[in-house]
Amino acid sequence: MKVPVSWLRQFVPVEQSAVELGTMLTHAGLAVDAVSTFSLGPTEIDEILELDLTPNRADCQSVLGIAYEVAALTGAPITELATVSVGTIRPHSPHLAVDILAPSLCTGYLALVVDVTVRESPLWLQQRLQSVGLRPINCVVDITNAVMWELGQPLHAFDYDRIAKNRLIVRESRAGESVKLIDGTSPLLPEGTLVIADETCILAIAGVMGGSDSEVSTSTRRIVLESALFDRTSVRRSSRALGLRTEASGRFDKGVDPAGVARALERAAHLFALLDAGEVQGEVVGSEPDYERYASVTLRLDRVNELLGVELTVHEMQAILMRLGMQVEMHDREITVTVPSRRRDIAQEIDLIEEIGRIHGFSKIPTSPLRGVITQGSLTQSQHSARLLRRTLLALGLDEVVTLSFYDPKNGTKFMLPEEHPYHRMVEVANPLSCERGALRPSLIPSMVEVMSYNQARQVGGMSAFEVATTFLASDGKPRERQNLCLGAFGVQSGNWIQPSQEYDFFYLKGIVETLLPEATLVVGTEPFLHPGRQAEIWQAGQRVGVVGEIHPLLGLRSRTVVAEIEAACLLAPTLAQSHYRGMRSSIPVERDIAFVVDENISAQDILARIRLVGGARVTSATLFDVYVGANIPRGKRSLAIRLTLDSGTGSFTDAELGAILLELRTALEQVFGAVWRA
Amino acid sequence: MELAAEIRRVAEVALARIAALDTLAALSDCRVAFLGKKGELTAILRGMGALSAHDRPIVGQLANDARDQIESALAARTVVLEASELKAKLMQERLDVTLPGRVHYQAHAHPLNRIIEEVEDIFLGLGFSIAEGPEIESEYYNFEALNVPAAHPARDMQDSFYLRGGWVLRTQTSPVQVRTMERMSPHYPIRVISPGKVYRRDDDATHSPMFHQVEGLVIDKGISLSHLKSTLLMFARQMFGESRQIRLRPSYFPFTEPSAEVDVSCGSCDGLGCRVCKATGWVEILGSGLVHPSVLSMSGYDPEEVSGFAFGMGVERIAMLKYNVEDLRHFFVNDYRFLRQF
Repeated sequence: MKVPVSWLRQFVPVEQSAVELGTMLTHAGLAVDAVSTFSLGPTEIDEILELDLTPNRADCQSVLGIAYEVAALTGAPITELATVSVGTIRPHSPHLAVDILAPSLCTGYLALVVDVTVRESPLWLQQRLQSVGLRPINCVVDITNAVMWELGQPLHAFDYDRIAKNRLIVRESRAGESVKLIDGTSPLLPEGTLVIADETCILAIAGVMGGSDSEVSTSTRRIVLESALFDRTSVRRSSRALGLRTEASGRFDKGVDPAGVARALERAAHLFALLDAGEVQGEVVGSEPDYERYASVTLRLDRVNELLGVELTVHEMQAILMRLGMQVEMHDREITVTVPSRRRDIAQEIDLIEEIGRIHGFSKIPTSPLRGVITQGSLTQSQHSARLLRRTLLALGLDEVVTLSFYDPKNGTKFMLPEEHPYHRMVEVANPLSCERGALRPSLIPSMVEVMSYNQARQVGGMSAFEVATTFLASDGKPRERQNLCLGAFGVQSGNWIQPSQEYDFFYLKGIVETLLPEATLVVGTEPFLHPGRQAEIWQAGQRVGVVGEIHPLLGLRSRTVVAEIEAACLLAPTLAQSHYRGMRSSIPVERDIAFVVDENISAQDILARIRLVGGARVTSATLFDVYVGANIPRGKRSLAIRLTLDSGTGSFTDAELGAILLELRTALEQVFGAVWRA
Repeated sequence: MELAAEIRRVAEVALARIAALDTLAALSDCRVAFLGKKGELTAILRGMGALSAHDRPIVGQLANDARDQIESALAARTVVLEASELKAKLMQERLDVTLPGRVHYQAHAHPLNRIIEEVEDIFLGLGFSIAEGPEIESEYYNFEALNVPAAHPARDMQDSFYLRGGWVLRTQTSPVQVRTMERMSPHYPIRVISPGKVYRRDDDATHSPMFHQVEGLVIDKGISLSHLKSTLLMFARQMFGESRQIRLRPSYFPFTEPSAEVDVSCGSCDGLGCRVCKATGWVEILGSGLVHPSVLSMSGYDPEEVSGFAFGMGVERIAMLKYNVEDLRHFFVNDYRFLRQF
């Protein structure tokens, strides 16, 4: 909303500079984003306040509305508006009839017939319109625009001689109707659009834009001037549906003052006379909106000071309210406040308290620290675990990424997902910004792949990253949300002269998974988007909790890329954050290495599990330290070497005891896996 | 006393030899050569049997003295040689300490999560707890319970992402505040913050369709705007520096009244005016206000009994200000050259 300071001065004295005025209004809640200038001639300029209004201040969508605010802030009086009385309002006249067929959407409609002389407006009016960004057309249209800008009430002028049978009909559009508009378009109207029509065609979309058939032109001799109150929601719907946001529709959408409907006609009549541009013919036809002229709100004085944290006297409060144009009536510790209809945002006590705080000035409110019961600020168990999880991953050398929650429904093709794949249970967005962001992600992996692919394209030698975020799955009722952890890596972390490079491969990521979930079991996986020979499902406590694997080469990434995704719930369990002391063993553990040849299809995980099972508490660790395939090993077999840590728990094993344990293990591995002992 | 002269001579030879030796091995050989079973001094002592009873103790004493002399010379020389051999060994083990050490990669937390944690820690210290909630919300929690009725412009399809079945992606984390009030009512005080992801239908250099917020809520008896001001001043100073000031500008949000935008004095120019603050000296950091009485009532509190304040900040905005990041989109692209700067 642009407000020229010269125009403002017509309504209220302004002592300050435009910049000071802007600061004052900003601190009263009417944000002045900028003060610009407009050249009125070689030596004269006007200053323009550019306001960014909050949606509740419909009353400030006019120069007069801003003038009321200035008056309230400075205490200056409002200059009475020059108007010409247009006489009484009648339902119809010999010149014109108005039929309102949609009374709930049009609560007031006044029409005035004016004989006009259509010509250019005088320079001052043209400049005034230009300075606020409006284009001067001719004196008739310019007057309607000027009145709208200064009073906030949109007006429309129809060419009287283009209205069939001198009858205006306000109605909802029927299916298939269209209208040729003054901007040259002829949109098809959604059924139920509020329109102004005559008996033959639609003349205007109510509150949005006029039609070209009844547009005022140089040949126009007589006009019907419309000042009406259209339903906010109806105007917003029409304007959005047709993509037409006009100055008029914006004002109706936010709400106009019902008291201004008649006054706008009177103001226009004044301007027609002033410009010698027209002469009013007969009475105003139509009906004024039926509305409450005043709202009455009770204000408790103590409440004001309690909520604002100030100590204002009743006189200070009274003075502020009166400067805002309200009438006050004092009672004991209470004021009855009468609020004018233009301030329809004020209906409750809290609204008045806000007004008092705003005009008094938020800068004058003191600070006072919170008092009262001490509350303990602490993280919940799962919040604590979530922090620990992130810190652990950072300490393990994974960078943290944050990606958008959106998902491309076409990922199904890219990720080669069969029909029944769970990712197809994605949650679709009804009104997405683009097709690629048409759904919410069922998995974090596609986002991680995108991050990896982006960095690969930028010649990054290696990267290892994680993200903890929500995934979404469609379900019968509310879509299911689940926190997941995603890991991703590619390339190498370069080493140096002493340290070999760290390969970001399957076993790197598997190692991270094992660090996070030491109890998990991995079994061969079947995700279609992962390398069929390099992927595993992660199982924990009988549940499939995730997957780890190398991205399938058909996805077309530049480098081999590994990913993992794990349900965060199993990572945030209290065990991760809590430690259990099991006591110190007095015994000294001993190490023994074993090596044997087995069929290469036998899972190392199963062998290690068997060793732990057979060894029980005596085997405190079993580390696979060598896998060998090649010379001296039959085809289809491999040699495994395992370092065992053995601990009796109480004293030391004798050589005989150690021998017995190793024999027990050997027998078990020979029987269960057909192992052939090497050492 | 031929033997005595012989002892003296042997001792002299031994001492001279010891002084000249420069390895521990040679020293050990030397000990054997003089004091060993077949050593020179031992051989002399063996000849003592032929001496007279008068001479024997004198020569014996002489021999013992010589042995002690040699022993202590050997010991002293050993200490010297051990020290120099150790020194030589250590010098041999010398490293070029200017060579780079083994690589340990220090990973980087995402700047947005760093900011969230920083905000959380500030409010944890003020006795707030942290509440979380779903990202998919009902229209009731996202709008109605926050005093945004069905006809309100903010409900427009233009601004929010809708899902099938009438669900909506939360446009702010305020639904968590409502859920907290419903859970706690009628008990108070409530001091809680709710960080999380939120969604709006906007996408350009300054808007992302997904972004992060931290909102805060305090409900207690007698809460006023001055408590809000004090709390936010404490926050701003911890977040941006002890010398920061804040100012409140009246504004409008459906769920608070009075509502205020909060500006912090610009850290780049100390409030003098610069590019960051667009020459105003102030930078907008959050929205706030007293909880609207209707919101309190809807959530089960009596606005006559308690009042409250609420505030909400965009994490991206705080991060952009704090780290001087010029484009919001950097946060979600995850270019490693970006990530590794934090």
